[in-house]
Amino acid sequence: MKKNTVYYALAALVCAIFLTIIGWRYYIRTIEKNEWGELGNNKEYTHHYAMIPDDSDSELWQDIYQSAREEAESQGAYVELLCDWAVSDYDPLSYVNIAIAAKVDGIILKPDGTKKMQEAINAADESGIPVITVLDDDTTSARKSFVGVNSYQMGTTYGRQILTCVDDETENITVLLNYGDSGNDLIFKELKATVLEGLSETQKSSVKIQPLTFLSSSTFDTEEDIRDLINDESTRPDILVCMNEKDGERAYHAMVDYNQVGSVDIIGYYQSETILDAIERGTVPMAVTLDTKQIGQRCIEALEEYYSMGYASSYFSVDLNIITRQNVDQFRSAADQ
Amino acid sequence: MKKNEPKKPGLTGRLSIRAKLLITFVLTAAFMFLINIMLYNEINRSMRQLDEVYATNVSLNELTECLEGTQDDVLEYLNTKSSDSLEDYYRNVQLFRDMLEQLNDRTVDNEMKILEKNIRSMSETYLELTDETIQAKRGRNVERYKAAYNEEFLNYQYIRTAIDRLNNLQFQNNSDNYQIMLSSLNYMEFVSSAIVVAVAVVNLLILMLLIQTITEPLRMLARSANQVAEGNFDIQLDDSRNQDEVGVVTHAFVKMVYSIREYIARTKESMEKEQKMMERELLMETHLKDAQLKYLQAQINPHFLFNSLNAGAQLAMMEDAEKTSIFLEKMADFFRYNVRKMEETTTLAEEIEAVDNYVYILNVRFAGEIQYEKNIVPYFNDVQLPSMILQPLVENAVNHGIRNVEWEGRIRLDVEPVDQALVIRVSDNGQGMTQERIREILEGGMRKSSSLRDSTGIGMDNVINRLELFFGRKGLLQIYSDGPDKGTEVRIVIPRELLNQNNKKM
Repeated sequence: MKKNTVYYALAALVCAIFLTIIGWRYYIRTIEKNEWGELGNNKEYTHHYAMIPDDSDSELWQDIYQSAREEAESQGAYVELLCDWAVSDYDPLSYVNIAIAAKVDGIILKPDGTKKMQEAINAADESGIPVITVLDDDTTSARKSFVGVNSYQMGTTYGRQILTCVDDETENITVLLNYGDSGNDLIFKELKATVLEGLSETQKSSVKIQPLTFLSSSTFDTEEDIRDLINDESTRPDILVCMNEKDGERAYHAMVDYNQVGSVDIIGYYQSETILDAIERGTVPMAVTLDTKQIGQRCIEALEEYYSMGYASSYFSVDLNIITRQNVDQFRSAADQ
Repeated sequence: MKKNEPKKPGLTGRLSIRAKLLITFVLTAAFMFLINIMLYNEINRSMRQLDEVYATNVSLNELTECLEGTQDDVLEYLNTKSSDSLEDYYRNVQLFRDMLEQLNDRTVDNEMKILEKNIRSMSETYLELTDETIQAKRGRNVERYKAAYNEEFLNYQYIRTAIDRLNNLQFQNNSDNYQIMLSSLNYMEFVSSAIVVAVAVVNLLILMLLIQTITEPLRMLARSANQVAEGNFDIQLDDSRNQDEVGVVTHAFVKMVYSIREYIARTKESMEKEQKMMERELLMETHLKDAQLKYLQAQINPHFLFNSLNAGAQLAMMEDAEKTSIFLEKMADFFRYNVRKMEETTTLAEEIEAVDNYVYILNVRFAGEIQYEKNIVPYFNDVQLPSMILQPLVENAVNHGIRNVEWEGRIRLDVEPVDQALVIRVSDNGQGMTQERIREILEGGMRKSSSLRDSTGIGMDNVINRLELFFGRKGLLQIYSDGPDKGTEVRIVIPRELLNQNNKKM
């Protein structure tokens, strides 16, 4: 037997073992990357925070949660998105109670301005659970901090955007306010003041600015009301300002359905896919959006600040951005990321 | 054969084919077995991992039952304030707390674990509230126990919801796990198949290499055998590396070829030597023959010539007549023949004439003492012979046969065919000889002792030798005698085939 043959055989054997190991490593790594890894991740966190959204499906809340979660992860804390436990209608208030009963280390929520919510926030505070309000504030409650845009800034920003849409034919400007938001009055006041300040004397006499708040008694009422608003010629505004993500989308779909594109200028809220598409096509002139990444980060910062210092700043400001056709790509790529 | 340097056989070279096959099979099987063990081990590991991650130590149904029991007991107690229900309540609470102990209480990034933690914490809150409710009821603080009961009931509902959700999540997770397991198993199936195929290919490769090491020497052997069959013994076959069965055969084959080659070489060498020796012998013989002929013929002349010439001179002195002239003529003829035929062969007729002349000369010398008769068959006149063959025989018959006998000497020459042979006989009625003497003469023992003084100088052995050389056969000349005083007969028998051969040669 040639000596070479032995070497060949040995080389083949080594090759086979090598291939086997490589294949095996590849297998293990793929499996771990796919599913097993997450199952085995038992990293323990120091704090357990609960985030209670008022609309868990909205992209706004999803983005805020994502950002908060990333920030919390870096701080060694865990944020639970506390919602959608049951098919039955558990409102944010129920989840606040649940969070209190579950003895979490912090609650992030958007207060709805009701007394019960206020009480719940106070109860949480009594139980030693710091509460951070986000997007909207309830200054009368025992919340530790508010993370968001103040109403004055909000009103001014909206007012300026309205002015860019106003032309000679503009008569009706309707502002859809969120039911229960504490800053509604202040926002509208600033908005109106800003618009009136920017209008000429002739326009001032012809343009009517009016607030509108839908009292939604059942699930689909708001949607129907907005449709009616757009469809009815007598109530149809020339400029419609929406203060939440859903209203913006509802108004947009109604406008398209009733063939009112061009006659109604919608100022949307937040960068949902629908609104971004509409802005890109020019059917919606602009949208006001919050820096959700900042919101998420600030919420966690506030809680961590509270735990490290024993108190937290009562107000964390976040940036307000305007999405127009010119800069829509920027937001889209940011949203994709 | 160029002998190869003996090489030390490799590891595989030392193994027999059986061992090789066995080792290959065992190795391959072991390798495959190992791979399989590895695969099954991994499958088991995966299963265990799944189990560990999702094993819930508490049965959610039991937990729910226990929770319901507690709630029922609280309600029962609030309604009836019976001590039984209170007892039940405390028992249930204890059970419930034991169960809660087994729930997760760590904050980890896993929805189900977090939910477990929430349930645990909520249950603790709930139990605090139930305690508060019971205490208020005991203290008959109606307002407080009603408020506490409401809160506690709300909590109870939340916990139920949480447990339901956990149940749902578990169910969902189980089906997810099933999917994961399925896909993992599918993936494992693929990977293991790939590995098995790869290993099988490698095994095949090794097997092929091994089989080649078995068949290659066989092929080489067959090739060499074919070469040997075609007559090429100069083959190169390395038989030292393999020590398996084929190696043994190869070694035997090489040894066989080597010895065949040796044998052939030896045979060739000896044949060449023999050939060379034969050539030299032949050459020597030829030279000897030439030399002998020249020498013998040169031996013949001087004395006899002088004696004869003396006789002729005496005769001439005495008579000065015709006889002398005839004598001298015969002498001249004889002498001429002798000189002329020195280096040549001659015919039988000339030989007979030479004998006639010789006898005549003798009769002149010894005054007709010799009775000479001849019986010649003329058919053989042209038969070729070496010269000076018959004359020495007649001379011997005169000198040793009839010279000193008291009776009348007679010499007879016969030439006749007998049994497919020419027979030339020279016979006398002289002294005869013993068998020992005959043998001595035939074996050449007389050469030295024969006197040359009174003869042509050509002895018996000379005649015998020349006949042998000429015809290339021994025993052509025979001598017969019945003993002393019974006469002698010298017989030359030339078989017909020798005659023909020499005549063709002429």
